[in-house]
Amino acid sequence: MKGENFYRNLFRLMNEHFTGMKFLCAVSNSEGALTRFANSEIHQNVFEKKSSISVLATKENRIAIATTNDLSINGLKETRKKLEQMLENSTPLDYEFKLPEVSVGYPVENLCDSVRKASAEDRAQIFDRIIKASGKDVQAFGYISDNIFENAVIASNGMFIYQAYSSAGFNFVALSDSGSGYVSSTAKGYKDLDVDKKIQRAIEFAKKSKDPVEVDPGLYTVILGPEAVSDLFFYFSYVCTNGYMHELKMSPSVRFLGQKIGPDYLNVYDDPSCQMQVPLIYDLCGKKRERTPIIEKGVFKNIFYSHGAALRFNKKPTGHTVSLEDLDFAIAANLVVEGGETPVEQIISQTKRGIYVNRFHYMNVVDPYEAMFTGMTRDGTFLIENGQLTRAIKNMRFNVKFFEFTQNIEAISKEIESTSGDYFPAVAPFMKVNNFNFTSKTA
Amino acid sequence: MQERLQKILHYLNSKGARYADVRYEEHLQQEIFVEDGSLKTLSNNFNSGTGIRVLFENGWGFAATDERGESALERIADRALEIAQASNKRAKKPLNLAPEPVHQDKFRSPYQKDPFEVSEKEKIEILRMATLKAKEIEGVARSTGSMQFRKINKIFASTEGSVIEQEIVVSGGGITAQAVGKGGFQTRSYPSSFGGDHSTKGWEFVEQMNLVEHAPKIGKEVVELVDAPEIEPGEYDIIISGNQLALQVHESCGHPIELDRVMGSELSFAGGSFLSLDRLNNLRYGSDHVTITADATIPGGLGSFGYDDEGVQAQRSYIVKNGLFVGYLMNRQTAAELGLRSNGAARADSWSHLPIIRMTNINLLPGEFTLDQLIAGIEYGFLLDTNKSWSIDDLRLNFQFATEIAYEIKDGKLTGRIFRNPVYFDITPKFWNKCDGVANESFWHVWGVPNCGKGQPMQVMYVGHGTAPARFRGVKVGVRK
Repeated sequence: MKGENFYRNLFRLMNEHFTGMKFLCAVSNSEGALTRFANSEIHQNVFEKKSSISVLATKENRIAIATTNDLSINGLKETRKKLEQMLENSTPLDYEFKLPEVSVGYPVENLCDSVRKASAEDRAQIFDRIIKASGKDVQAFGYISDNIFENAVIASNGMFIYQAYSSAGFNFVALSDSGSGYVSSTAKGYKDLDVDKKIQRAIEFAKKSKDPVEVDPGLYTVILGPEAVSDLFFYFSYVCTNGYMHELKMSPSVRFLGQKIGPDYLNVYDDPSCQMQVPLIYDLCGKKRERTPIIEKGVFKNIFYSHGAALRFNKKPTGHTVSLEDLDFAIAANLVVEGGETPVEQIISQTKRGIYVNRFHYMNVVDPYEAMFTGMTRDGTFLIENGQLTRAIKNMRFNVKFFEFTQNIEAISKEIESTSGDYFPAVAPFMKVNNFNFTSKTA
Repeated sequence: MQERLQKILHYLNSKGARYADVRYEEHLQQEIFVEDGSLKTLSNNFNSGTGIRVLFENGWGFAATDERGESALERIADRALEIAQASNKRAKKPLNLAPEPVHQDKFRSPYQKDPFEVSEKEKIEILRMATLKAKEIEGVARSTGSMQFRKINKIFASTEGSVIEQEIVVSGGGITAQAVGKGGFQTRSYPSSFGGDHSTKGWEFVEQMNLVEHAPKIGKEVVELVDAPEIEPGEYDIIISGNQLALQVHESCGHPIELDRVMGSELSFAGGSFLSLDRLNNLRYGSDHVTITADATIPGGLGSFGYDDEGVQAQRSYIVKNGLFVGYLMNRQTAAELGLRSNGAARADSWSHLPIIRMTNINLLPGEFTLDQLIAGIEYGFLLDTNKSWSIDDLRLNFQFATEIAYEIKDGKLTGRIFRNPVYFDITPKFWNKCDGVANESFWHVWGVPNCGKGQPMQVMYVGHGTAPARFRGVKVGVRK
């Protein structure tokens, strides 16, 4: 970790070596370690340490971006030279470009000691606990990781923003003779991961998955676990909340923003203040991020505007710029689907017949205009009969339109869990949903 | 630099490492993105660093840094060793590496014109013209164009004595046109979707695409597409175009033949594989028309190189021979478990990542038909072109693809009617056994897929797929909504 003073010094150096140039730069440094295991053995164990500085320079309404991981004075001088040449070759933007307004914010440090001091041996000891809990009938697969990130935003207009944060994460597939279970979690530090408690569910699912039966495709009542709910709402956020696509009339938000899309108890936020999240306090343009309702009381409330989209369409940026290379793209980094009132046990016990889905696999967008998503079930799919998970079923493919899915929500659990996600960690409850469209089976 | 790397290897030897390798890499990347004639992104990225892999008795450790200087390298070597020792404490069985001759060599991907020598102005102008040409068509709401170039210089050295220097250049680009109408919004892309086509050739590869010339066609098609009907769900005979078949090969053949997946290393993330060891040389993967190779030696293929990131020489090997499943993609560790030589598929996307088994160029070899002959053999069906969406289960059996467009075929001829939102799905070996013809060499092209994700931490690799249009009988098309 380089520490705030390193970036303050870089701020001074940037202003010294980029005199006369309007610029915005995003600086990052990360140290990450990951221990991966399969067949109950560690097979991959890695550590990486890297930095980069991306400088967006602007002149006569042209922009160019140069990135390097050489943060020396020589590296900065080379970057400036490259940017000058690129600006000459560049052409003007079709909107008036301005640097972001200067953010006023305190430096943020959200660092957990458990991550700061973690070693390969510490991660291996968590692995030992997982193996012990799995016993001889269950094979363990997964990873344990920890990361420290530092980001600074520096601009020629005097902006200086610094944030440092830690994260720890794990996932675990428990595999028995004929079935599997899965859990994951990401948090600020190791102690919030809840490894010992969470892995029990995966082990239980693996043991319960013997002799899966085939179920015909069709419309079913499903109870989705937090992993599956996180995935569906991530895809919703990706396809439906980008203000740029909304303004181009190429987003489903054109038809659904402001509409009642689900029950009163459906609330979804981008929430950097959530204690179960790994908070991103400032975006890549230095904009302070606030807790923002996306769906509130069942109404699709807000979409997001990155710095570029806000300038183009005369909107206020919302703190969702995640790339200097694509200044128009916006996405929620701290997605939280709020819990409801009913315990999950009660939701299951009140379900006469349905399917429990622990996790989805390889989701993708079939039709972005309709927000129609597809994917497979995986690692724990069970038939629910008379209020109980009775038999494992073979994996099924679904195709659902998101805004029909939300209209079919029947219950949301009180319990919420952190999940690692493929792109961003999320927090989500269990959800009971009717008319979930399974379209094919694996046979 | 070579001397510095050798010094680190000696250091690790002296500390008791059983094997170690070290890679120093420099990556230079340029991206240009234009929308409706206006430049949106012009970016250049340079990064360099060193990754060190250590085998201590039977445990692996890997550490990487972008810090420069001898002491930084020594610190990172110590870190890799410490990690390997922690792994080794829990090792249950001996770990072996398949033998590989010592190589001391240099390789440069063959290209005519260095894309980094071509002015940014010229590149922007091509994209500007192409997107304006598409946008000129009435009804086109948006047109985008992009180019991507990469130059990777790397040095590999191992305690076995190999020292390999490589320079690989990557060039690619493509354009899209989008329209909005009562049928939602639609996209047509050229020459392929998700960034176009890519190759380890130089600027000449982009020039040959003739992006400007092709822009009006995708513009016209997308406008027609928004008002086009959808296919009535059912079973149809279909022809899949080369650019879509590249993705089909990628998902339903390329990934399940990765031997680390087969052995469980990817189970918690990307999944496993239905191609278990007992199926090698036993499973009818496809019909007699289906022969697939893994070939890292094709000049220009996006998955081509001189040596993989374990110092194994690039090779060509059979994966499926006349329908029979006969081979995997391997690294030295998994090859040793089968008593074979690695076929050179250990690749890392950066100095900061460890090499894992990745596709090279996974190619469906050409058949004997012309495209017209394939079409002539269909009474009623569709020609599906250009990928729009993909999804496949964790064992790589149940897949579903959406394409941008379907062209209707009736009585052995294209009717000129087009359909929007086509989706087809099947089970991998059932599907490949329905193949009754592949177009010949003149329709064959190695498509570049620059965004193949795998591993934890996630690595994004560039791979290639040689394909020609192929015909399949009785495939389910359309989804009940």
